[in-house]
Amino acid sequence: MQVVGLTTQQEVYVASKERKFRSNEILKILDSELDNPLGEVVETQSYNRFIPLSIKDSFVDKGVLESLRSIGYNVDEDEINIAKVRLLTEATYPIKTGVAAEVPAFTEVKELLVKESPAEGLVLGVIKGTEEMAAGMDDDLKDVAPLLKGKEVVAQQGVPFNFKLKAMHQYPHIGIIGGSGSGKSFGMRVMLEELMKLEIPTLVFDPHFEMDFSEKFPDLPTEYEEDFESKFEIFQVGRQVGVNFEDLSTKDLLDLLSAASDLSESMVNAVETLHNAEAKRDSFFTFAERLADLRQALELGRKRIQRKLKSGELSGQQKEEYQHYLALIDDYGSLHLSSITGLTWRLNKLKRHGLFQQSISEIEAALQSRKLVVVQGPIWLLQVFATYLLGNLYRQRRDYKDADYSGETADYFPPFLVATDEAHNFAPKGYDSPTKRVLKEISQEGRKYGVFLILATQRPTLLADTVTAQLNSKFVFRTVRASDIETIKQETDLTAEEAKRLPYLSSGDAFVSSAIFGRTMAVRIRVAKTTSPHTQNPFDELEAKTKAKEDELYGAIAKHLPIYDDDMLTELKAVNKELEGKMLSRNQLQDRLETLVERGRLKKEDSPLGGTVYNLG
Amino acid sequence: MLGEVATKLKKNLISFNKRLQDRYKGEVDFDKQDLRERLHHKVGKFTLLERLSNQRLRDWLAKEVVVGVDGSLNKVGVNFPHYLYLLQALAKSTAQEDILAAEVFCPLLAEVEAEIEQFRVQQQQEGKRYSQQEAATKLRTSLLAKLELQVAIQAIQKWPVKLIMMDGSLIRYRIEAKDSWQQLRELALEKGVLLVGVIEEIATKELGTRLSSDLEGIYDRELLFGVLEVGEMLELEFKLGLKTAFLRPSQDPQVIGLDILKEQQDKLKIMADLIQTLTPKSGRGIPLWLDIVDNEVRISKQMVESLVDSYLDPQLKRRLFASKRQERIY
Repeated sequence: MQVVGLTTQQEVYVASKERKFRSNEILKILDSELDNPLGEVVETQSYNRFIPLSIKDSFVDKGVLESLRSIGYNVDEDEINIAKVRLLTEATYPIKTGVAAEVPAFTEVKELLVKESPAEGLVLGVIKGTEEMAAGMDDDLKDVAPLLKGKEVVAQQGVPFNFKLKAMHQYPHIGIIGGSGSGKSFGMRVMLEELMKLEIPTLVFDPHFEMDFSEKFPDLPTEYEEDFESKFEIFQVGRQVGVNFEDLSTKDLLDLLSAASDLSESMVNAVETLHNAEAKRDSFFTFAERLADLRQALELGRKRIQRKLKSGELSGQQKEEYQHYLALIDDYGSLHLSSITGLTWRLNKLKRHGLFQQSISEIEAALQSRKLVVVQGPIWLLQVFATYLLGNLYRQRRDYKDADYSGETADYFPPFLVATDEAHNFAPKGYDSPTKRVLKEISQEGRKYGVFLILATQRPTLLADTVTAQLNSKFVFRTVRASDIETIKQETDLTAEEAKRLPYLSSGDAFVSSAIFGRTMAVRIRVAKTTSPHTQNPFDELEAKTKAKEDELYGAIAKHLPIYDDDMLTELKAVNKELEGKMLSRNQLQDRLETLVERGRLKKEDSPLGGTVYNLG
Repeated sequence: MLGEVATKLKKNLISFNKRLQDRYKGEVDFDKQDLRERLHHKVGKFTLLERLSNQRLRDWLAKEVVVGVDGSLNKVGVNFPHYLYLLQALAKSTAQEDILAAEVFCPLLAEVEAEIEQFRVQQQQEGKRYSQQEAATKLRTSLLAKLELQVAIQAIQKWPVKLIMMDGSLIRYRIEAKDSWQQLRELALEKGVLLVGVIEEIATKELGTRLSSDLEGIYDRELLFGVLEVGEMLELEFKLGLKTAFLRPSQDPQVIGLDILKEQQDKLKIMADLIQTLTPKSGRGIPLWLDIVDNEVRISKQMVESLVDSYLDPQLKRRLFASKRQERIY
């Protein structure tokens, strides 16, 4: 390998006849006057001067090339490989042309590549282009990141990529960017597995119901298996967890209601007036009842209420009711009926989804015991809940730290990470959303309190700028959309060459642009140890279910064969007995039998007694 | 201004073309069939060459290799004696091995100066007068030929060679580097190595003389243009100790020439077959193998410049070899 052509202080070209170059591998340029600088291959090319591109040239005569091969000369071997190498740090003057280059030994690049031991950091994968130097690695770096090749799990190749979690204190927040199928969800899963390994309290919002860690990855060799069962808990909004209405501040309540559907100004005014009225804490019941009564009162109108009260036709309880209505009208008469109706509708929607049935105490407890908490729910409800939950937990952590800073004692609440997919829904660019406010606050101030974000999205362009700007480490997977690539270019230190490669990255390959490493690294994410519960193809599932149903029927009728169509009723009784809990009608049974005939499992023949008979195929 | 120059040149070119047309009127109108007849009777036989199959090639070559030999010449500086030649010769085997020889030739060096003088005295004794400049040129040419012959000799000594393909006529070597040529010739005959010179630009006037007096003085390349069919060869003999053939291995109507040793003339057919096989059908009519060797031995202009810049003292370089011409700004 040799430096060729024009060199600069930043870049050189290295050529070799024997060795092919790989993108991202690190080379040592043997310019002793510059202390043998290191560089990374950013672009690779190979060409054969005897097989030129132009088709006019006579050289591309296959027959002649074949003949040359027959006399022992293989033109293909005249290939020249060229790598554009960017120096990791700028040299004081241009590299000397003609100097040799070589693959550095592991010890020479260790500091650049390994910032944390695998036991302390997140082992997310391997650094690409380090395959050759991995041999000299320390033992604790070996065999910690098995990879997925096609569908097979293969041993680690190269230096592991250990994300230094502790550096998040200085460089907070992680972004995971990539289109569908790019390996983004995989990357998220691996990251969460590693967080569980270190028992870092983590809160995961899971709109896709996929973050379950109990199923092991199929075909994962046993030596890599890890049991996460005791390290995570899954809660569904409205089932195991919800909002404790008494704890809600008016602002919280406004956020929740607006997450159900946008609020008008008069609605906001109504909530501010009605919630925790007269400085008394409302329960869901008291608040909902107040809304309902007020609505009733407004519908009746002051005059009718007064008339009724005067008429004397009301008896004890009814009279009390009307007096109550009147009092409400006196207090809140300025509110609009339509606003109250709208609020009632929103409140009921939230209630219907069980949001107010439970509390977040189980989540708090799980985080306190350093577990990973997965909160699942449909995305809109998750947004509603996340607003409340995040606000609440963040406040607890902040209160503790603030008290700690000022020397007071307060209840301990641990630092934690918040991870979510579809982050652009939680913190959208261009319009306001309740979750956006809290995410923005965490992104800007979370570092101080030890609260960090892991935000995954396939549309970085739609993610709020203020949040994007705070993501100090970004994992960029395959991205095809031009506008997103443009955003990535602006928000990361990916070079033009790297950005050009984005649409072609294999699934599971990513560029990591991180302040912790100070430069962009290409990594391949390791194989996840667990798998999402719904990796089954829905169409396979359809086939499997149909087959199961058929098998069940087949099992039920097998011993009653042959079945004559004129005697079907007798058999039907017997078959129905076998099919637990299901009753077929005669026609249904015949239909099913016909289907089995179609599939070749049964045979339909003319019966010697007349009519037809179904028998074993 | 520009237009005026162009108009004048245009006029000149038109009249030049007319005069060429006049001169070649007779010959251009040759009846191809008639010419072929006459060539057949008076010169030698036409042979149809074949493209060898890959299996045939492998069998013929067995475990031996084909070697291509070529030289290259690069000049730094302009006028005598302020110039410097970088000479390089390469023997490349089809087994991906190379033998390279290189030499620097500069009349400014005392021993080269002495050589030039010696050469002039020698020639004067034979009744030829050369200027210093001409003598230097002769010496340089012979030096390159010698380098090429040397690498060819080394190739035979080092490798199991079946055939050596030289770039250019063999007669050139005999004239320019007699001793080395003799050595190579003997070695090749002794070891049974086939020698063939492939002539890209034929400059002989042999055929016309033999055909008839009215064709005398016409160059062979003019006469044979388009007369041979693709894959056809015309054999003849006119160089001392050599056998020569003209052939058209590609669709290009211009023929190429082959020189082989007279002692090896029974192998002419297979050698010509090989040349034809290694020549792209639609190409310029030169075996690809020679183009590859040529490409490898050639030193690019930038390479020469960077070599000179790296290894010559900049002051000397400027004083001795820099030319005003190179510093033109337009």
